[in-house]
Amino acid sequence: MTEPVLRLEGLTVSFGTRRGRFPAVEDLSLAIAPGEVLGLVGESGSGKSTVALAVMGDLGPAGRIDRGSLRFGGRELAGLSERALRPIRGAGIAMVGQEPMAALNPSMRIGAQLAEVPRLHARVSRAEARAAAWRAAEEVRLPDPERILDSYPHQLSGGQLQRVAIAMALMARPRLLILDEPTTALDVTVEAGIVELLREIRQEHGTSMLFIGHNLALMAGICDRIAVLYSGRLVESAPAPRLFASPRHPYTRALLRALPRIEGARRPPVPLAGGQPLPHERPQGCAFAPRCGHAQGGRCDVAPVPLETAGPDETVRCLRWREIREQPIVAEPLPEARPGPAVLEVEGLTRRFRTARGTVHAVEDVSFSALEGETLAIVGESGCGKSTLARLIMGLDRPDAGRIRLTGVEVQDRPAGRRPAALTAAMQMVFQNPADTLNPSAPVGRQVMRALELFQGASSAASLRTRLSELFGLVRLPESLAARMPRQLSGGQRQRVGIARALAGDAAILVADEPVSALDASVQAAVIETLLELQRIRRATLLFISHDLALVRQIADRVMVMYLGRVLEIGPATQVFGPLAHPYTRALLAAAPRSDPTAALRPAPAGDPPSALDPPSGCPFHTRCPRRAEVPGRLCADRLPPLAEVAPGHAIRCHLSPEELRKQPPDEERRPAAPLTPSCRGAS
Amino acid sequence: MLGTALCLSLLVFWLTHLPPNLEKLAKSQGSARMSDAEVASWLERSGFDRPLPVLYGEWLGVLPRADCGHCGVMQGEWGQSTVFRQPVSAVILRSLAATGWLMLWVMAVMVPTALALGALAGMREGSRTDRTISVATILTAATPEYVSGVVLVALFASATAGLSPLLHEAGWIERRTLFQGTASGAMTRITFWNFALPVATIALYGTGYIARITRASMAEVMAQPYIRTARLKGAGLARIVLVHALRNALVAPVTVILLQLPWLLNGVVIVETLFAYKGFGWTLVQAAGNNDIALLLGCSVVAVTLVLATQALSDLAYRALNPRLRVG
Amino acid sequence: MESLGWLEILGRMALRFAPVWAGLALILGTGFALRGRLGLAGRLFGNGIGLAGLTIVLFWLLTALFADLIATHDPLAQLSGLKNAAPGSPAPGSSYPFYLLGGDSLARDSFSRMVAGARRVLAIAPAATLCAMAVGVLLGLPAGYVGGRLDAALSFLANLVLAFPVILLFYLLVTPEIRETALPRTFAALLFLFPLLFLILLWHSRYRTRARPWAVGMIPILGLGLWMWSGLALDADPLGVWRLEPGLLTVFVAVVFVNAPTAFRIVRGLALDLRARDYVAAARTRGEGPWFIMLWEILPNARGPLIVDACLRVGYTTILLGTLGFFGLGVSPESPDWGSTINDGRRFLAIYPHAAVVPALALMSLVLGLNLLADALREESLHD
Repeated sequence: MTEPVLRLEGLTVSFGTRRGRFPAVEDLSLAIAPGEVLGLVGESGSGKSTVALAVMGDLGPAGRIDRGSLRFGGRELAGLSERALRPIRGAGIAMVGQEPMAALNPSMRIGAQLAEVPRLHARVSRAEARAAAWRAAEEVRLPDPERILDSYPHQLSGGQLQRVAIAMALMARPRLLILDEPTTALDVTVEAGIVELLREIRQEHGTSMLFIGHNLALMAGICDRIAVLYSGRLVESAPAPRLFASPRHPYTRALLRALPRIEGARRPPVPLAGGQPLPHERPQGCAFAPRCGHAQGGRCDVAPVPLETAGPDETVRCLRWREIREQPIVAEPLPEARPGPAVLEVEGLTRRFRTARGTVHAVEDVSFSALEGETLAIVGESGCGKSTLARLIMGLDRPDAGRIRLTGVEVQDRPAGRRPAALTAAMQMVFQNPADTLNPSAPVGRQVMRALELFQGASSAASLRTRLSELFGLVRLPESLAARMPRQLSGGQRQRVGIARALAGDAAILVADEPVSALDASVQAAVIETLLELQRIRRATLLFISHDLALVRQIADRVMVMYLGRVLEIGPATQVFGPLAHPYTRALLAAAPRSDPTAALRPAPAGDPPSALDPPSGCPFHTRCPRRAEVPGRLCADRLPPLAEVAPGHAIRCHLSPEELRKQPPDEERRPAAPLTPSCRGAS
Repeated sequence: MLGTALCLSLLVFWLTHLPPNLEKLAKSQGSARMSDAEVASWLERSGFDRPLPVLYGEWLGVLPRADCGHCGVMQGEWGQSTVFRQPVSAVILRSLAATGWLMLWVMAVMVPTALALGALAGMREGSRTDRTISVATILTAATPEYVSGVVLVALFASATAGLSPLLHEAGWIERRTLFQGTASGAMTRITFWNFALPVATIALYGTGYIARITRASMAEVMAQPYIRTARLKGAGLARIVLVHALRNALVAPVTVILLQLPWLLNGVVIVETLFAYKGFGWTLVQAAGNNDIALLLGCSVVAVTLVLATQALSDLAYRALNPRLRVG
Repeated sequence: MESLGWLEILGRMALRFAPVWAGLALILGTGFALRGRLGLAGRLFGNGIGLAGLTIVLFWLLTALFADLIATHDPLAQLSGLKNAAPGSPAPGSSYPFYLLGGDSLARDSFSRMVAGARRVLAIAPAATLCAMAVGVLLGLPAGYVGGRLDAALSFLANLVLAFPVILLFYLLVTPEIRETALPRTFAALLFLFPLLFLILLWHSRYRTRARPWAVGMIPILGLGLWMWSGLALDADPLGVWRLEPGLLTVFVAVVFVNAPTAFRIVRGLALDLRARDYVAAARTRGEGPWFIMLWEILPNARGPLIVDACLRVGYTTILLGTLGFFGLGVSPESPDWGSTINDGRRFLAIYPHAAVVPALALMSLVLGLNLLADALREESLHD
């Protein structure tokens, strides 16, 4: 084997906190061969980003490398001074982070920021540096490099900024590129574009990469080898196909089970109980034992478990990996919903925001109805208006036009707080951000109690308390948590309290706006399970707003697809994900990462979603539509197609006929008709 | 903004024309032992018994006056000062010029010092330099001008305490005091010895305040991901601070420096009173203390205009420094 | 009798402050023992700057509390022959044999005046700050939360007051002439209503659905509040317990008036930031009224910055009170408050600096303590 580009040996990194010094990463050994892409996967708090910072020598004043070595191309990095690290940073190892907007200097032009790299490392002239910046921008497929180089970061979209960040990282031709969740902040179609770019870069330059992430499905598509980190320790590493085909460590198995699968049927992801222990709460022995179905008392919880070699280039940290022979656990398929009458009807709903730079068409002429006992998913990328729609329905915002009927009563003119108590109790919302959904200054029990007082004010104090413990039982939270403050709860627990609060008035409709998108995969599955169970028991309607198509595919009865404020498609999930679908729906499906490293590559639509500030005329999707060429003339650009019914209960907004839509060219040929110029946010 | 100015001038006009003020004016212009009836008739003769809006209109110059037609503030007629027995405009112009010099030197001392100290402290949050500068700036920001002025005079300009007696005995200085305790000499000729203490007194408070803000801003910027990007590009600390951090960190302090001008006005009033420097602040105190209504109104208009102008200026500066807010 | 040397002066002063040392030891000791359970306040004990600030502030608070025990002389009594006396001069035939920090130009004891001044400043500054914060909260929350025209109108008013240089405002508001008009009383009646209104709204929005706890809280709030309000603001307390002398009332009103707009701005900014939070949306979707949302969902989460601001604001109010004293506005010439004492002393500053320097250092140390405390609180709450 050739000398690896990076070799970590027994790396232990600790951080000093108020409570003392705790290791974030313990005894980590890894190697990245030239040209190899190593995936480092773990949930939040597993220490994966610490690895990146340790390699870059940028742990900050609190962090420290306690033990172990970091060899980059044979040179020891641990203990190097800031000055000695400088020539390696950028030129030897470069890094791309999660938030492209924050990673670029807001008051410097893109060109100057790019040109800084050759100026620092190659001592070239200004003009040469500028030319190098130009070439770098072209290399990452940025349209119109001249204009981009002259822009400030706020004038570009998130996808463009991430390309700039990658261009900057590549300028000095580093041997190792560290990517720390490079696509987490991006929309799925943009993410697919970035992943494609990374693949090309690797083919062209043979750059080694350390790809850090939490989404196994995404990593399946790009990594050669995957290492799984749990609570600061490596638990398993193996070539990607092997890892997906036959995971060895129970945690890897659980992660894969909890992963929503785009290619799966209506089967919810399988949850994993509990949460990752914090550094100061790590148990004796195996850190995963408390959550592990295979853990044996007196064996797994005694002493630290060593990392074993399980095969060529494969390691696993589990005492029982040879003994565990389990069939892959799959959740029961969801029963078909037996929907009742419509409980929520929305007609021609429109909301526009007037801003200094023009009118944002957030929601345009949206009509649909939600039936009793069904899960209606509303999907789309950021800026498609799905959250505004939820706010309008909940009365948090007033529509400019249109009607909302809640159990037959028109409520569009009654903002929240002016609606009759019965209607308010009937429809409640579950929010996205677990850090934000509960008031940080009040015990969680009191917050649910307050909702009970409002909705069931006539009841006695004792009966309210009984209801409170019932609600906690319903969302599977121990009652003892009621006295805790929100910050003492984990993200998943907080989301459950949020659900309990929403159920205080026996809500018939739950509007859930991205309720699990901020949670780790294993916790995500558990919250989804709770929501679905409640829905089954109470025949409640679930309005599930999400950008995660894989998850939607697994749990929704019906799906509504939105783009720039408009409904492009609505229908039963089986049909929307079937052969007859809108080109945009297809594009979304194609872009969603597959949890299968052997799956064929599926190109994503070109460019970023245009801004709702200045939506394109005609069909909103025509600027990125791969099938625009099939429509004669300028029809797509000039006329908005109607939302026409193609099958009972299934409507599509497209100029192509259902027959044409059904004729789907094979994936490999679905390249965009022409490279389309993405719009530029803020430039208008 | 014009609306704010009008509202404010009306407010000041109303407060200065409250009956007790007018009565005092009558007694100071007539005799101190006037009876109530005599006061009333004096006010009637001087035209002060008419309704307030009429008086305000005349003062402003939108209503005609009996003697000179439209002759109010808008026409440049600011009235006659009763204390100085001169036109108000002349008094104010003279005092503004004096204060201008004071402000100029204060700014020249304060702004560079404050920005440099703040940037230095915020560069490495929690370091020894940071701790030292922080405590020093908290100290000066906790010291109002009337305290620092007193302490500085006691230290450097007292014949019995502080440094001066020691230096004098050692024969290092001829004079009894190192610095002069008053700045009245600076009205004719500004020297280091008569001007350093007043300038230092005002600058001390402002320096602490602005340095605190610069430090906070700098520390915040240094924690931003784009600074890490620059570091991981391989840039050295000097380049990171000068090229990447300073410009973003200066937006807040520059805005604050401009908004700070009105507060400097307070310092100016205190220092000019303390050091007997006959500038704008001293004039304002004289006008208010002696119930010189015309002069007080004039001073108020100037002060309020200054404040509003700096607010507008700080808005402009914020836009100029922040590329996000520029159109295009 | 001989004059005292500096060491003796310091020793004797330390002895006079005995009750303060005892109080400090008690409070800091208990605080240190319980620091794990005190949350943010407890973490001050691990922060050098915070501990220093806390100690200084407590020192002055206790001095104000025990002023009668500490002072060596009546702060208004003049002893013949001790005019501008140097620190440590003997003061035969009085309640204490020395003028520890010398005499002022009217032959009064500087040390006792400084101690009495602490009581005066600490009686006004915190109360005025709380009053200004109540105004800021009750106007700033709706301005930030509701926004729109209400915000525009309130912000215009706040900017109007802020556009006045503070000293000009004082010279216009705190004059003997103004005191003759009904203006201060009207202002006081209005401003003092805010803390009362704050408590009423707080209780009502929380317990409006439940009659028993509503009444349990509302009756004492209304009874006690109206009683205090009528006494302090209108000077119409039938029992004569609550009373503010007119001069003090004017000073109080002026200080609150100057502080309220900046407090308003801060609260408004915080409300603007917090109103977009999901828990606020959750409260709205369950049909909560605007005052519940503002006072129970937004305000508690703005408490960190507000506590820091309150600390700074007490210091700032102390500076303002000193400014008023320095210009001889609104206080009787006899008053021992620090600002007036500095003003009295500055005339002989070049010859007898001690009379002005003593209160100047006292004022500076109190404000310094408050600023250190605020700085540490901000740092500790950021590192949560």
